[in-house]
Amino acid sequence: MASSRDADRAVRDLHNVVVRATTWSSLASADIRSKYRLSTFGSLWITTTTGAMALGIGLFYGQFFGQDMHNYLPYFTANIVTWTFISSVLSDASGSLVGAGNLIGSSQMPIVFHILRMLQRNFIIFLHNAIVLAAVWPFVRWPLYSSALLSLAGLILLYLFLIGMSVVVAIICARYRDIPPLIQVIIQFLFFLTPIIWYPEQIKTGAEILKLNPVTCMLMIVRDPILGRPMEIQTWIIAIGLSATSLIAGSLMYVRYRRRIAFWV
Amino acid sequence: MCAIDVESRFGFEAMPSIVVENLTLDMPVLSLRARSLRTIALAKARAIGGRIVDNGSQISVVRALDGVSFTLGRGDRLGLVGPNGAGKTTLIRVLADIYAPSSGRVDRQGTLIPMFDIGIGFDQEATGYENIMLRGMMMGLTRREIAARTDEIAAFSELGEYLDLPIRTYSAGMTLRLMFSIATSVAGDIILMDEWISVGDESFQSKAQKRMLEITGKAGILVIASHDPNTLLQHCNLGMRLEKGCVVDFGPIAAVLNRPAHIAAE
Repeated sequence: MASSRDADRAVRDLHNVVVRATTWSSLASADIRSKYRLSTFGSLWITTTTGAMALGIGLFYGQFFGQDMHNYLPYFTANIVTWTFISSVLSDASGSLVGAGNLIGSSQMPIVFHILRMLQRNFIIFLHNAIVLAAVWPFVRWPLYSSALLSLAGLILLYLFLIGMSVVVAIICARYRDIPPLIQVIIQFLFFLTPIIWYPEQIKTGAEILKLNPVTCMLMIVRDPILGRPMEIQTWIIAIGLSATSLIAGSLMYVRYRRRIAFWV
Repeated sequence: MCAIDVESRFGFEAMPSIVVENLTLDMPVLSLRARSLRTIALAKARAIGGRIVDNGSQISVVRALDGVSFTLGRGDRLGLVGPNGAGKTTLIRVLADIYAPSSGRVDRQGTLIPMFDIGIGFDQEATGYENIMLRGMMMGLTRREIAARTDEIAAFSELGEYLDLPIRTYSAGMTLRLMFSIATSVAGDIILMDEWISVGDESFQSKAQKRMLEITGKAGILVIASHDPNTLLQHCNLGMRLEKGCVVDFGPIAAVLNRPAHIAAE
């Protein structure tokens, strides 16, 4: 069905993702500005919310379960900040195309821009949340090595991974309306399957199975360097592989189904 | 690509043209059943049983356009007429590259200015100026290009200091004036319109009308769908009557409008 012209069109869209990156990123910033416009503290409320959560669970969970607070508090904070980014992208992706239905039916903007706008919006929220980790540091003062900068590389890989994933999720969700609730179920499940509130070292048997969860790997490359936790080179290789796979899957999916999206939403 | 091709926006190098050949558009109508996984799973399960009672996951299709062909060149102003559901808006959307044809060919030369649904993408909480930026970006302009025309848009809309307020505080007429000023701030070779746009109070209306004439006059090609014969007679030289997705009449606008649908169909 899809002619080569449609494919060209989709490829051009993907090209524009890079060339016209300011468009979708500015639209995302505008979304954040708009959401917090009438409040005094504005987007700092995002930080506060996460801060309260990190403080609450970090402190009390540590108390009850006898964890060493100096390790657990930054660990939990870094995890929850990164996990929030991942999970909200996946969950927002499911509604991103349907929500932009009006625009898709009337504007020339590449359809994939609606997905990236959502992703970038969540990234801005992530940056706000990352302040919490910085705020925890003076209290805990875990050692920071120069290798902490690797977290930035991890973040880039995570971003690329999420671009691909959200394109896949968004397109499937536009077609099958049963998938968005299913995505919620999967996210809930992944939360417990990923070392967020627990340490991977605590796992006695079945640690290998843990590695099958791609989210674990993507989470580790972001949080482990900044926390100064030891990392295996293998984790990075898997992460690069996952990001590449996800980008390829997203692109193929987009090229294949782009022409139909306007009819679905 | 975004609405406006930067290189060719100002120089009208290419002769604008639209060539449509045997265009057919099937619009999938996903029923509730087709969209649910359960129906697909059930359909599979039934198939395993050896007897397919109802395949359940059927996707019905509406043929919105059927074998449409026409050619437009510089200076052509085409008016689309026909009853509701005849395919006028669908055709406009295909020409705007929003719907991909199921079969057939659509070749378009020249920069495109879609001028329908001009109110979509506005943020009620954002100020007038921010909305100019927002909407401009959705039209495919860069920040710099928008900044360059913001003053002109502001002046034309006559909204003055209101532009610093959220558009939530505007009256309906004021919002429309802003939308109109933004939508008409770009020039192009091909203008697509779903109903002629007229906005504002009396004084603004005549100004808007003047600008519409200016823009459509400059454009190489205009395609407009409308139910108002006077608008079409005034602005178009060609007419096309669509019925159930088929072209039943095509020719000079006056002739198309004067020929009743059933005679034209014969």
